[in-house]
Amino acid sequence: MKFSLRLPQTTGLIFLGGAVALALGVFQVLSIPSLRQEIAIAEEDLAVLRQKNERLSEILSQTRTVESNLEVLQTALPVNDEVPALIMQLEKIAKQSGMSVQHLGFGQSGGSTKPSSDSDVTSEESRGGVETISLTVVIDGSYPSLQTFFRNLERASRVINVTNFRFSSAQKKGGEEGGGSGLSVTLGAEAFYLAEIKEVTINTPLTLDTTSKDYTELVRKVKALRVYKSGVLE
Amino acid sequence: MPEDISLLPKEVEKKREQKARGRLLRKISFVALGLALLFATSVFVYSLILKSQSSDLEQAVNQQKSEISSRAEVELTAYDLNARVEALGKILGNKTYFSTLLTTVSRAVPGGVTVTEMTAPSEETASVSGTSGGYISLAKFLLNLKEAEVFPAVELRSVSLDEQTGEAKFDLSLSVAQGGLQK
Repeated sequence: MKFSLRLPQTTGLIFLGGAVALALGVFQVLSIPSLRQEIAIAEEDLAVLRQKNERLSEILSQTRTVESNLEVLQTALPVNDEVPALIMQLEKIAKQSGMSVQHLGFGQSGGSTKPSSDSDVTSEESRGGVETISLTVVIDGSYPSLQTFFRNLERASRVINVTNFRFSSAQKKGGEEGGGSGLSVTLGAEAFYLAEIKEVTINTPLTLDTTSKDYTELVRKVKALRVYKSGVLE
Repeated sequence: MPEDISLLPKEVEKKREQKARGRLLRKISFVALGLALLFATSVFVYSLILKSQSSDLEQAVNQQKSEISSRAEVELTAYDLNARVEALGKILGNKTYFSTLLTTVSRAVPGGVTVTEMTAPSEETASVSGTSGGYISLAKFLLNLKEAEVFPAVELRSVSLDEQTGEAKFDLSLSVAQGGLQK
């Protein structure tokens, strides 16, 4: 048996119209997921930007405090190696503590920066944007002076972290003044610096909260450190 | 029984059937068209709403971006400060205070004991060598060290008596408590 569906012209046109409408509808439906994704991304971006703008407004309202805090933190963690200032700080601390510096060795970190002193290069290390300068310090002095030296070093504004040390009794050389009253100390330490941020992508979230306890506590701690200003040694 | 006899010719009957089927098809096609139009229109309206939402968001994002750009200097200061806060937080949090080790050892040293050598290769261990006037003062030194919370383990590695001087030379190792040299 032969079956044929012959539609009248009007019905055919109606069906055709329906098919076109359906096709257009399906085409639109296909574009919906990408549109929704675009919206979700834009909403996320907007949330980040709004938060960032709010934080910037807060910071802008306390520019002076923020700038002075930045200055303090840059003393503890400078923008470049500042080896001469580091030498000065070590020398001043040693002198104040009754120790005498016999040798200073530096391991300059960071491929782009050149050593700014004629010191030994022992190692180099870089982690999380913070550059590390390895130090080897040889000092002479007594046990109480060494204790004072460590305490002063730990409280110094340019943050230095002692990683190891060794001392042994040393014979005082005849006629030598100061310092050499018993111990010869060799210590390994690290000083740090962090290059200044010169560029940021606009969508990077700003997590700085100048009202947080962690922030205020850290600033207070760093402000309490003793500054050994660079200058001509007495 | 008499049979129903259709007087209409078969062709006329066929045409009637075709017309009825045509009407039905037309109805169905109208319904289908209506549904398709409704579907297409709703999807179109929905996508228009989404597009307008997207465009509003884009506008808002651009506005925020331009506001941020106008504060570029403050933005850089804020990021720099933030980076330094985070880095210093970590550095100071992990900083080793060897003065605590020196102070604890010096407090533990009794009369008659002299520390001549000390090595702390890391914040976890230290070794101390020295001389003692006798075994009793050395024992006191060991007891004092063991009482200190900073040293969970104190081990006397060697001790030898110098018969000429009467002094005992000792060498001991100290384990430093985790975080014991941090503040």
